[in-house]
Amino acid sequence: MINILLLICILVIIYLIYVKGLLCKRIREMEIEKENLTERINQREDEMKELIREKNLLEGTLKEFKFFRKISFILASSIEMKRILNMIINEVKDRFGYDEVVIFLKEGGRESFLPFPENKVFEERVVKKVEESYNTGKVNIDSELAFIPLESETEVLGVVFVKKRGEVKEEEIRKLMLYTSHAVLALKNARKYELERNFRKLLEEEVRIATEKLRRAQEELIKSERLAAVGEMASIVAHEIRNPMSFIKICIERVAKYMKEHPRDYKYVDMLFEEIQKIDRISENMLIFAKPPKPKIEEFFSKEVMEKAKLLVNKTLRKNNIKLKIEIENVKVKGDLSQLLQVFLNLFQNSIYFLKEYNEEEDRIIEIIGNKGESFFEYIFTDNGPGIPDEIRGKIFEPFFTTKAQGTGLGLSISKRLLNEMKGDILLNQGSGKGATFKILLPLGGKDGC
Amino acid sequence: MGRDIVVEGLTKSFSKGVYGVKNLNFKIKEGEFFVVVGPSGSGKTTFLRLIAGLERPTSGKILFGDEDITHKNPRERKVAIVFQEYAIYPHLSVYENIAFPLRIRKYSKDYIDRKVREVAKILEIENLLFRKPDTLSGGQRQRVALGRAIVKDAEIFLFDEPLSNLDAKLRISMRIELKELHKRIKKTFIYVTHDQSEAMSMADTICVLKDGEVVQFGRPDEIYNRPKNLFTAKFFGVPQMNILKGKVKNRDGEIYFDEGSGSLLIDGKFKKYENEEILLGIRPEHIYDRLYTSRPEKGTTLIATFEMMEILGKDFYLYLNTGYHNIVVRTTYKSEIKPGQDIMIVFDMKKAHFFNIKTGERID
Repeated sequence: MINILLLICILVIIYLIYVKGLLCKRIREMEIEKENLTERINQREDEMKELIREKNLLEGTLKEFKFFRKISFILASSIEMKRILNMIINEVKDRFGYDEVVIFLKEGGRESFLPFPENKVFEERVVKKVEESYNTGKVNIDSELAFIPLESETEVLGVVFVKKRGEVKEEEIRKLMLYTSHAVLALKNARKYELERNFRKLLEEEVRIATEKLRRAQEELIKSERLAAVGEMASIVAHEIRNPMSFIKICIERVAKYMKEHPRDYKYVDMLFEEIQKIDRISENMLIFAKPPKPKIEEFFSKEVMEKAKLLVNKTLRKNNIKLKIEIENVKVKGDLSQLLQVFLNLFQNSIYFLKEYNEEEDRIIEIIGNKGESFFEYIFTDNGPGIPDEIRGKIFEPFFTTKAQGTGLGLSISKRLLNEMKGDILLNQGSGKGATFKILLPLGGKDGC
Repeated sequence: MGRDIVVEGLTKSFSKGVYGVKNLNFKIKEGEFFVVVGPSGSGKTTFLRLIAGLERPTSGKILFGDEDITHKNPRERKVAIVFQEYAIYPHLSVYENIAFPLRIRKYSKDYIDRKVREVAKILEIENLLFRKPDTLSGGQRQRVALGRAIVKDAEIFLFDEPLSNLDAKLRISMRIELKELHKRIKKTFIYVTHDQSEAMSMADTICVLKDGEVVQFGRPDEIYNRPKNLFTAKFFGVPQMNILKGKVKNRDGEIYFDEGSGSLLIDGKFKKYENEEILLGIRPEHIYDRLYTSRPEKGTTLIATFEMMEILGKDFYLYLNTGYHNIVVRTTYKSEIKPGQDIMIVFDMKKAHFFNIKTGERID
């Protein structure tokens, strides 16, 4: 029995030893596993740390990038000196947490520095350091203060002074140096802009004064010319008026006589009226010449003036058997319609006179062509009359120049003056062959006008 | 003319197309410390062996004063050689080692004794005379080897990288000693080394060899300050000269070197290279950190990103990158700069060198 019990005990012990062995093995395995796991955890932790470091680095870079982007943006967005200075100061304060940021500017030729913000008083050591930095171009860090020269490759604008509670760090100053090198460009641009603006203002003022002077001189000149012309005119008027007047005198005498004997005979009365009309016209022209009316500039279609003119001259043209050809592109033009009409009536009058005088009845043509040019509308007025002899071509726009027996010599000169007032012109075209050709230029209206 | 050494068209070829040295032509003045420097395989040891008479030239002449020694035996040449290995007998005392060359020439005992003591005095090893080599330090052994060479009354001393087995500190002090020795005995020294700093610190004249040919010949300052080509420029100076590739640009009549990230104003004479690429070389000590300089001149600044710093005693090497080139700056100012930060650097453009991008030759 005891033997059996002993055997059982031995078996149990053997079994327990076996189980313990198994357990130990398992424990070892688990320990190894634990170690592996710990190692992996550590690895992961390291990886985590690395990632966090990288993230911080990236965040730093991003912050930097954003800062520079912001700076670039604000610097590019303004060209006003004071605004830029303000922006720089605020951004630098913001970015680095400085208590004070002052930009000392020294413009060319100036003796002392101009601090910005203005109206501040500085300790002598600050002023000295500013001067030192400005003169040597050296960056100066003095625990809680720093002085950085504000300069470009070609010129020195001033010095940036920063102050902080605690020590100014080298890293900040390096960033600030890069930043100021950007800011300098904006400041230079602003200064250039200011200089240019002032210069432009000055220039504009000078141009205005000069123009005014010129205008006055021109007015004076015209006035004196006009006075001289008026004097000349007076003698012409006297001469011109004397003839009709003496004729009128005779007529009146005769009319008076005839009217008594032949009360129905009004022939001389008609003549009387005709001559009086002539005097009227001369005096009227003289008035216009002496003081041309200001044009009323408006837009109208290029054909309009010809339609009006046609109504007025049609009867005369028909009476004298003159053919009229009109070919006008209809666009908007700018000018004084009634004055332009007067110009055309003048031209018609001249042409009719010469055609009647020199051409056979079946060979009388007036042709008017109108085309849109680049900035002007061009009317070409042509007749097939005798044309204008070369020797007088240069004189036809001069006042009182005429080849007509009954002309006043004011028609073309008045036309030119009226057109010039409308910013247009009348030119004598180098005629090819027979006839006279005039070119009338008028500013374009509508979209094409300026 | 004294006893100058003149080599004329000296060529040694080992087999067809393989040259030890090729057409060397120069003069080594009497009493000069002449250093032949070049990378391994440049032919400097061949040159030394030709001078010593251990090799016969394929063509060319070696003149010693008026005497043509091209075909003379080493023994007849009055040369002494100090090798890289010390070549001293371990079983003999220092005294006997130095006396050995005289003993085999069978000089009198008194003469030998006088001579040995004289040499020992020169080399300051009088107190070591009766010690065995294995009880000596490397430097002392080197001095014994030198003693064996100078005791022979040679006129030309040849050194084949004698300091390359010594540690750095000893090497530098031995340089000074050798220079002192040269001053004292006033003989012609021909010294071969691959170490540019040894050449710079000791030589009166340097001959730079590359592939058996002379690349540049001149005084150390000439070679350092006006390298004739890219090879010499890069070979001398630690850290190596910065080499930047860039285009020559003309902006309103001013000539710039466009590095890529920025431009440097260069002399108007480079106008002829307008729109062409050239190389700009500048030594690390000629670039400055803007934080510590006065106002830079126009067209001398660039912005570069700091990568790392190496501290060498009082000097600091800043490793930078402009985005186009790696740049090393040597400065004495310790910066608290962090990797990734941009810094402004100023180039001393008066110290810049320019090289042809294809040939590597200096351009002026």
